[in-house]
Amino acid sequence: MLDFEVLQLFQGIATLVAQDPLHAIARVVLMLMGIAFVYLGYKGILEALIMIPMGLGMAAVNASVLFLAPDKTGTIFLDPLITDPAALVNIIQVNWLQPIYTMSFSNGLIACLVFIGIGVLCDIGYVLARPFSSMFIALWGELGSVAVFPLAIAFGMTPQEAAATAIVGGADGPMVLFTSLILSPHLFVPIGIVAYLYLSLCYGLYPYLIKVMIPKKMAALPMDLSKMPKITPLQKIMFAVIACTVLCLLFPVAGPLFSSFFVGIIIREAGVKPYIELLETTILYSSTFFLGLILGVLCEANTILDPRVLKILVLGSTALMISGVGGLFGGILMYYISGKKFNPVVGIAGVSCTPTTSKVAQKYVAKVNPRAMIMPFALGCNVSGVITTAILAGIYCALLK
Amino acid sequence: MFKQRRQWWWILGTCIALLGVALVRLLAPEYPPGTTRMVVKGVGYSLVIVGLFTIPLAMREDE
Repeated sequence: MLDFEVLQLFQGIATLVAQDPLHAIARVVLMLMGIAFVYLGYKGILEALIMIPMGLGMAAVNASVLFLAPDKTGTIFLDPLITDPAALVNIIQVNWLQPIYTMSFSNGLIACLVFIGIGVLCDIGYVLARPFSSMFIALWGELGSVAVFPLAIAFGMTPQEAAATAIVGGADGPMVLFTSLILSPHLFVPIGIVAYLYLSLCYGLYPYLIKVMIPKKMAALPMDLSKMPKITPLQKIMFAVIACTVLCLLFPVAGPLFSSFFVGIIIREAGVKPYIELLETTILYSSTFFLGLILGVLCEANTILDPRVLKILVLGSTALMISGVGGLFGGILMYYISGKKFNPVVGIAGVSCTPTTSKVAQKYVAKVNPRAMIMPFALGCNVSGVITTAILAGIYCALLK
Repeated sequence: MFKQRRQWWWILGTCIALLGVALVRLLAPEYPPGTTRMVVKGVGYSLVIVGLFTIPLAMREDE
């Protein structure tokens, strides 16, 4: 008769039984969280583009733990910590997401690809039409990225770790990945996970922040779109070329990000249709899909139980909250500077989660006053926010690398 | 695009921004680490921001 054990057949369950209770509970919780993320993404409560692949990745990776050796458990998804070249070559042939992770994730390529796609989606004309208000609000929207830096050092982090964590306040996913890869690659996985979890929470939490900070009368203020100057494509291209060159000269370490973003803008304005279609659909969506999936797969119980994750969770949420408050405060200041002609809700778009925060701002304003249109102004702040976050990331990288 | 009086905003903005870059990348490293270097860097970064802000002034005349 065969010596047969049911648990040997279902190794995902067998490893749950064999592991210590804390890991087993963490795995079950993460599986449930993954399922919840898929549902919330489907319902549109969280960002579907990231949350559906990420949720499925979380559920699948925590369910798929198996015995790699009699006394060793693991998965055949990917191993983020492997560095030895010979071991890497071996593992690339086993772990199905390892090639994508190694060739595009751990070197920052995926962040640059997403940034090219974002560049193609962004209309820099909104920034050029209202440069002062856009940049003023975007600078206030960086409050969390600046304020959390000393706070993180007080929490016992090194300046490099503190900067990589603080940049979560810029709410710009690719930028967070890039900065953590440059400054503290050992924290890249937890920071990336936390950043993308929170970016999706921008959808859910920021409307409440607006409600608390901006009185309804101010939020209902319509803005005059007729006074927006018309910017020609050549003017946008010229500005993009000059800004890219100057910023790359200033922060060579963030050069890949700047050039990715501005090349996207230039291709959009140059009207190179085949490239525009390729970048804004195939490249952007395939990068975002694999970004979500790999981040989900990285949410393994072992990673999440790392005690540093709790610190990053607290600091990341604080940074985003302070940035949101800063952006709205900038909006209120702009309301008074402009002689009460500027809708302060636009301030939330200073937090550069493009175009999520713009959508949040427009949705909120439309609820209060259905005739008020603030989207172009919000997009201007959003694009400025991307630029200011890139500048801040460049400053952190230049000073601390 | 480049009407006579507007092109100066482009040139001026670019030059100011490049001057800022020169202060940060060329001049500041010549000073020993300390307050002077920090101040030169700070002025350089500010000039870059001022320069990039100056360029859109060329477009605001379209209003």
